[in-house]
Amino acid sequence: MTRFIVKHLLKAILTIWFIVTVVFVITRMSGDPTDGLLPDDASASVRHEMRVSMGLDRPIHEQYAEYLGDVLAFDMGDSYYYLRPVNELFAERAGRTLTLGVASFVIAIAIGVPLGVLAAIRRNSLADRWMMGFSVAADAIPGFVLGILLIFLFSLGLRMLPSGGSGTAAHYVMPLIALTLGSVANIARLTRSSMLDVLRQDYLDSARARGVRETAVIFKHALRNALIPVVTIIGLHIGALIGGSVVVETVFSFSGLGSLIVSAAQQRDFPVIQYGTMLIAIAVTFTNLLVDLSYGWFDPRIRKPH
Amino acid sequence: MIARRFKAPLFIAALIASFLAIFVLAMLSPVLFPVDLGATDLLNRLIPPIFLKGGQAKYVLGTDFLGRDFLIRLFYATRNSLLIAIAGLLISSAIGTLLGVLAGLLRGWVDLVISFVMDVLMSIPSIIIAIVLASAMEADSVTIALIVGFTGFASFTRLVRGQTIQLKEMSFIESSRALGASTTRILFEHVLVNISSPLIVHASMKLGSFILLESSLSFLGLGIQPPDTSLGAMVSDGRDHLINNWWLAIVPSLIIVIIVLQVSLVGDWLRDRLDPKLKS
Repeated sequence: MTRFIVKHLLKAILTIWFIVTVVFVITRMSGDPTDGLLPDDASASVRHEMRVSMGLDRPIHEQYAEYLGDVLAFDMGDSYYYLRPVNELFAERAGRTLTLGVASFVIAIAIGVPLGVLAAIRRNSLADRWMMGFSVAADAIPGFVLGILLIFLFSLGLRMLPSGGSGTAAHYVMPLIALTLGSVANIARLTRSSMLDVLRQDYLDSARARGVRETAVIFKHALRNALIPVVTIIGLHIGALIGGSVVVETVFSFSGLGSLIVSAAQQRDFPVIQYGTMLIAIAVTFTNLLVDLSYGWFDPRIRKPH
Repeated sequence: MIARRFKAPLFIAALIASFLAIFVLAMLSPVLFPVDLGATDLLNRLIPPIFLKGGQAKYVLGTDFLGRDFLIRLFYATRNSLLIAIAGLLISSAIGTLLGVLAGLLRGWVDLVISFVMDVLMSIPSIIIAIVLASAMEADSVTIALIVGFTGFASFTRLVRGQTIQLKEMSFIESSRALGASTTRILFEHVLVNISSPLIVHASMKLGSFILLESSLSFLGLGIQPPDTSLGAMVSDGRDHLINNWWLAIVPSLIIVIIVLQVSLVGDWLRDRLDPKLKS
């Protein structure tokens, strides 16, 4: 087990290093950042001064070493646009995005898993078909379209909810729906197909023959096995959640990390982009690590060397 | 798997026909409407469609906030969105196949490096990769197509690599090697031929997600730049006029959903036809 953990931990660290390095290369390749920060008619000496103050005049390997140091210290310096430390900007907004993300995650599992189990048990029933139809439709609707439709319906039509902002609890309702609907559909569909696979297994019949109640067969014997692939997808789901929040926060002018990263990309605010991608890399990589480890816990067959 | 009704031959035929109709009409936009997309007409801005009060016969679907014909912009937007998604699909399937075959045939450290990069690319949400790339580049349709293509090639590589490794073990490839066939010949005559149908299936499933990615990127203002437009950019433009001119945002939104639905239902059908193994 220790070797299993160490191997995966090393891979996680390598992954994060790789991502931050690629982002460094991309942002350095995109040209001189001072072009965007100074007016077009800035003199060469002003330009040079700015390059020196930003450390851009030094050899690239020194800049890269400093950047890696910044990454380790979780300090990317000041935002080009806000002229404030990047980590302060992120700290201010992290709470709102985390609230949104965690709530969406919990709701998606709480609705998606039972829905999938239900559809699998009552396969080909009307409920099953409706659920599958819903999941196909949900996949075809991008987050921003769903957001626009929600604003049209609830803010302009029914005048029930605020169309944008992030001040009160009411501001969370529509972003939450827009962020969660697709996840519910995906998790439900996956649980359904995984459950259908397990329901075919012989050991369930042998449990029934031993007189185990049907509810216990479904929930204790079948569901636990059916959830193994679901756990993996839920792990990958963190990525979808991050991607979704970037779009959804922008639609609803929700002041969180996602909208911060989008506006940074529009303004070429590279320290913010670097910090944001570093956090995303860490979040995604460590969720994958946790998934790999929990996989071994759920399914002891994986732990044993072949 | 989806309700049987969606698999009826007539329904699929209607889907394919309607998608082709949209595709052909959209591609013909420069011929049908040879206009300057940047030309504005501020005296005629925000005119409603003809079937609503205040509509004018000259503008069937009305005009946008700069007085540009909304219908014509929809045509061009659909054209750009489809072109970028299809170009992205070609780019990503080409890079993906190349790397996948390399990793699968050569194995060893080449495979290790390629597989590692693929794992990383697939773990980062594609919209984030696209945003980072778009922030560092000048946005025009070619770069956006490249970005979309680069964002999506990992899953092609994974598919092709797996297929190649499986095929390599097959006896017909071994015997052809024993008969003295070169690696290139084996690649073109056996490997590529045999992976083509799962590849087509995968490409058809990916097209919808590429359309969604391009429209999301454009919606965020990081895709196609004005005066040129795409469906996502039109939704973004129309969003500020939702209260009085709701159709400006809702119509392009619905077009996105309709096209993605068409593409993904046809993709499902294609998968069942060409690759029964993959049926879940």
